[in-house]
Amino acid sequence: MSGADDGARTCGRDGCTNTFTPKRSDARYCSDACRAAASRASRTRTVRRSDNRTAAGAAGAARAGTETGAVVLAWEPPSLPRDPWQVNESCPGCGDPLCTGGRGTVRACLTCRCRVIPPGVSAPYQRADVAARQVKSQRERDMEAIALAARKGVMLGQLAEVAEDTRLHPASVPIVEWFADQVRAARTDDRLTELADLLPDAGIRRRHWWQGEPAAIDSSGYDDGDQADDGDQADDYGYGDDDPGVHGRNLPAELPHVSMTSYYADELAVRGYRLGDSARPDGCQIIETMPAGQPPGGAPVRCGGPGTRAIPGGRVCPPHYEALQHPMARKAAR
Amino acid sequence: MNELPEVPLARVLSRVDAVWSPRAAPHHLLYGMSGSGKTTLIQALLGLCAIERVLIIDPKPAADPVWDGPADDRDRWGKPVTAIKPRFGHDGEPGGGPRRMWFRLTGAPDRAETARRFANALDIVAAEGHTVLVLDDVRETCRQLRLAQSVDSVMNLGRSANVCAILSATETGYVAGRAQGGMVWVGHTTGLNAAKAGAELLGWRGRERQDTCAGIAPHHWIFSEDQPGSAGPCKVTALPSPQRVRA
Repeated sequence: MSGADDGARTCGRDGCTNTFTPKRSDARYCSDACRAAASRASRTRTVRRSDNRTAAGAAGAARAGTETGAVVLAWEPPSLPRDPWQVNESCPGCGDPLCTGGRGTVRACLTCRCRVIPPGVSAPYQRADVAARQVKSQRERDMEAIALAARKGVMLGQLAEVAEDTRLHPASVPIVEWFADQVRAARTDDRLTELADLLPDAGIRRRHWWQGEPAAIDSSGYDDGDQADDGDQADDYGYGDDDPGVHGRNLPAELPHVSMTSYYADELAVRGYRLGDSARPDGCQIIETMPAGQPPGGAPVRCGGPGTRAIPGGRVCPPHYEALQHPMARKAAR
Repeated sequence: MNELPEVPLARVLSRVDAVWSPRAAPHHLLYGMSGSGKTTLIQALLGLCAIERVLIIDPKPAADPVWDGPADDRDRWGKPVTAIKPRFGHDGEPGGGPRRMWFRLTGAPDRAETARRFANALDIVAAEGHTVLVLDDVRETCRQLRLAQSVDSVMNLGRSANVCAILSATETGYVAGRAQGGMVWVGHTTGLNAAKAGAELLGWRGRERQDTCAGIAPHHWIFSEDQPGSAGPCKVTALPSPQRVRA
């Protein structure tokens, strides 16, 4: 705030010509006396609001015929009429800038000496770069809704197949159900495309690596016109690809279909197991017909373990379940 | 408080003509009770709009004779219409006024029909801009016809779309755009509350200034604007001459 190095100033009070070195940068008067005098002078001014309102003297009051000689206020703000001015718009006839005046609601070309419709007035109705607004007929809206429903039906069918697959990993079941809900709720074709694009990244997988990956949803490739020509609907849905490890929108994987029931039946048989009554409630139901360490034709042995794992047809204990996960039957068949 | 200078209307109108533009002060707000001379003052202001495209929106269900022109020029204050069309004034049927670009949109006995007419008109003004919009009794338009949002939208276009508005109101409540009046006219009212509302419109506070507002006679006004060079508020004394339109 120090203004000592600002140099000398002249006092701001009318009539005082003293110079002083200010101690503050905003100092205007040489002394307190001058400051007080200036303040008194400003308070006693008749008109303070604006310089455009001036006080006429007694002569003016006399001219106005006032007997009391009261101050007559003059109200004289600048009021010069405005000339027409150019605007940043071109005349459609000659290309020269247009002019306007007053409130600016009209345009005129001084070269053509004619009135011109302001471009802003015509703009809402003359948009060459934008196609005219099209209103869809009821039939068009219906056809779009039908196409959307058909596509949703295809996707829901594919998701249902995935969900019913017993080889699906349990953690993937909620994901598939979420996708099904989203497909049902989708109101636009674009939303279905988004979901189809999202599916490969959703982490849906099968229980074991050798079971491959489930078929991806191929909604974008859906074309109801193709179905009429192609009798093999599985191809339309993307099935039939031999590579089980590849999954994408257009190359869905298809595994050699082996049901869980037949898988476990084969595995039980190759090991000499069969399912029967358990030795205890909720116990393992496996009966070993060829128990290890015993001669062929011996008495079958019931497992006494807890039946905590479920397979088609019964419940088994964890050791037997683990054993059944190793596909000995398919290896033997090869 | 200093006494307000008394200024003839013609002098005030010359000042208004100098500062009234979409870029500076696009909107007028007139406040006064019924019979205070609002419509007469509007007609005086329209004298500054001889070359402009003007749309007058009058919500009265029946034709108001105050808007009727003389016998030889019935459409002097705008051609009465029940609907306006796109590019009105530039294309299509000519209107009234000095350059046949003034239109007066009238109300209907059915309030819903009136609201529909006015909403369509305000939509066109909002789309096209370039209009001097006169809303006679804007409170009726905003509150009873529920078009406050449309009026607000049009008012907000002032600078960007060359829309100048004149709003007249008998009350300040429910009036869209009352904060946008670059030029405020407060006229004759009755009651202290009305005088207080008028003082608030002028940006005044205090009993003395409210008394000033309460003392305004019919067809007299307090005019205020704050554009560069403003001399502050003044009393407008001379009655306007409604039949004079500067061509």
